[in-house]
Amino acid sequence: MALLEVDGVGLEFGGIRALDDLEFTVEAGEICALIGPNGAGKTTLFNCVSRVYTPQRGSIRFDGRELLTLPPHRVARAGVGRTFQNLALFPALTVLQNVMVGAYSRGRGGAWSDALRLPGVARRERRLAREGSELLERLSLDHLGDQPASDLPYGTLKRIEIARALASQPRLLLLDEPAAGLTHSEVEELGGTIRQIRDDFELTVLLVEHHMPLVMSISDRVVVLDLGRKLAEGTADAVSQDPQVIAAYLGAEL
Amino acid sequence: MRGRALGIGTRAGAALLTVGVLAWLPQYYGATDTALFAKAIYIAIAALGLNLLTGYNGQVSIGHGAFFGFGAYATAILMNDHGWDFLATLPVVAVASFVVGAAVGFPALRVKGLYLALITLGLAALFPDLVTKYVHGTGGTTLVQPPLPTSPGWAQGFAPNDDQWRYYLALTIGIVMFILAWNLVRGRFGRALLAVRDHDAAASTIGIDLARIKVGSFAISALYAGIAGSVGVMVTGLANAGRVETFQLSINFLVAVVIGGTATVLGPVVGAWTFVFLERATQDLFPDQALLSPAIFGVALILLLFALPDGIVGGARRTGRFARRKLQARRAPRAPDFPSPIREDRQ
Ligand SMILES: Nc1ncnc2c1ncn2[C@@H]1O[C@H](COP(=O)(O)OP(=O)(O)OP(=O)(O)O)[C@@H](O)[C@H]1O
Ligand SMILES: [Mg+2]
Repeated sequence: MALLEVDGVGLEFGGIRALDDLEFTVEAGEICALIGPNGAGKTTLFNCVSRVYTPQRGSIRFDGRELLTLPPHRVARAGVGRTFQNLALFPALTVLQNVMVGAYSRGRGGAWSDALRLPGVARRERRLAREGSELLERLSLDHLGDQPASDLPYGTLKRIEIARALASQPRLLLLDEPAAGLTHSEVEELGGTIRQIRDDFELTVLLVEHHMPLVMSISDRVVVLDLGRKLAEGTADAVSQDPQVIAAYLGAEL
Repeated sequence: MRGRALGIGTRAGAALLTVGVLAWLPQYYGATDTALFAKAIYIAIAALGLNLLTGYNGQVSIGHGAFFGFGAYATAILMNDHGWDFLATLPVVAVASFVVGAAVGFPALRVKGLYLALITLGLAALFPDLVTKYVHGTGGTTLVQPPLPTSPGWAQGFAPNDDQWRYYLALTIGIVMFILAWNLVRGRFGRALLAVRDHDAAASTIGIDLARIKVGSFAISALYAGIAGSVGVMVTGLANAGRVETFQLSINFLVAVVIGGTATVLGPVVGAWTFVFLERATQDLFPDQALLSPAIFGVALILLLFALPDGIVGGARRTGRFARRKLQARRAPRAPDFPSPIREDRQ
């Protein structure tokens, strides 16, 4: 059974069909790229999986479990983490605190235990800070832990978002255009990082990306989306030869 | 919530010194001034709570005077009509205000920003009517004047006068509420408050239940305002909820938060003391021109915010960070640059 099963998902905004009977699966352990022209519905699909939007039709199953019946804040605990196309960090928190709050779904305890500093709270805080620092180190961000998560270079902020998503220890990581705005060398490094975290954390990665060299170099499989439908799927080489895909991208880079 | 500006030792020293000065105040000053200090304390308690809601969680309320009034009446009526001890009323007020705050917070989930502000304003407008309907105070009015706590025998050494004793009660409660807020924002819940304020969709994807945090912060801020109301009754000897008073208090709390510095624990406390003293100072400026002092007070507040847009504590922090960076720059002449320039494409 596939880890993620997107089954007949349809979503309309007013008259616009953002997703149209979309169907595809992601196997456990793979890096699957989701590509398609601007407005194809890639981000919309991410928003459906992470329950920001509720599609009008279809089902999205994660490890056999229906996600669309879960409240949004339960998706992280179910094992799905994500990053955003436009940065979505918490600028009032430091870099380390952003990663610590990323582990929210794994923790427990409410306002009372925090306010009274019940036994265990200080220990939990130390553990979260240690785990957070380790993650920052993994992503070469450890020197930035105490800085506010704003006013840093764009590529750095994107990496902080990945660290925050990893803090929840997801099984499926959704990355929405992690290479956008990065320099050439940063993109190469990012490719290595994605592979590395996939192996180390036994992750499955669903990657939305326009940067074709990155897609070609790291994805095991590519799903092509156009106008909310699946246009093609296969290896990176195969889909890039597909005449339908070339037509959809006509004028765009590929 | 940024990196630690001062070491633990410096902080503990400053805290001890502050508490020492606060404890010394009623020994030196007379009853009038002591009452003023006590007022600063109860305004600070309410502002501490409002800051959790507005500063940390981004929900603006201009109706917390209603929760203050609720706490004030609960304490006054329990003491006056049922003979309760002042301190015994506090847990009841805390729980009841928390519940009422949650009840208001639930419908508030559906609205944001200006609409939320308007709804809370409605709360402040509605509360005096409820009081008129349900409270039967002295001589058919809505005033309730409970007997006030008096200085017990064992406290005669440091608080021979009752007003001193009440000030120390208020101070103790204020310190407890401050420590609770300090702890609260430094943990899981505090991070969630800021995360929801900064980016609610991202907060939700990392597992934060938005409704729970928003209703929770409403309830906690109402608890603070309720306790502030109880302390207010203990200090002034009077529970009252005129339309003007309820509205004015609501604004006062908000002003204390803003001039002190939003989303810092110390801010509302500094703001409350500044507020109370500015108000007092402008009152004495032109004793025979009653209308002039509120205007001057208003101008003073505007000037203060103009000079320190992020409040007194915010401004102090900014200055501290700036000074430290200068110092570091002098020690290490060339700070390392970040290797990656920003390229903006397809954003
Ligand atoms: N909240 C919304 N309201 C209305 N229309 C929306 C909304 N979100 C997305 N859409 C529309 O749905 C379609 C798919 O958008 P989506 O953002 O998913 O595209 P995308 O594949 O991520 O494109 P890009 O590569 O540019 O990020 C677009 O036509 C977009 O305008
Ligand atoms: Mg997109």
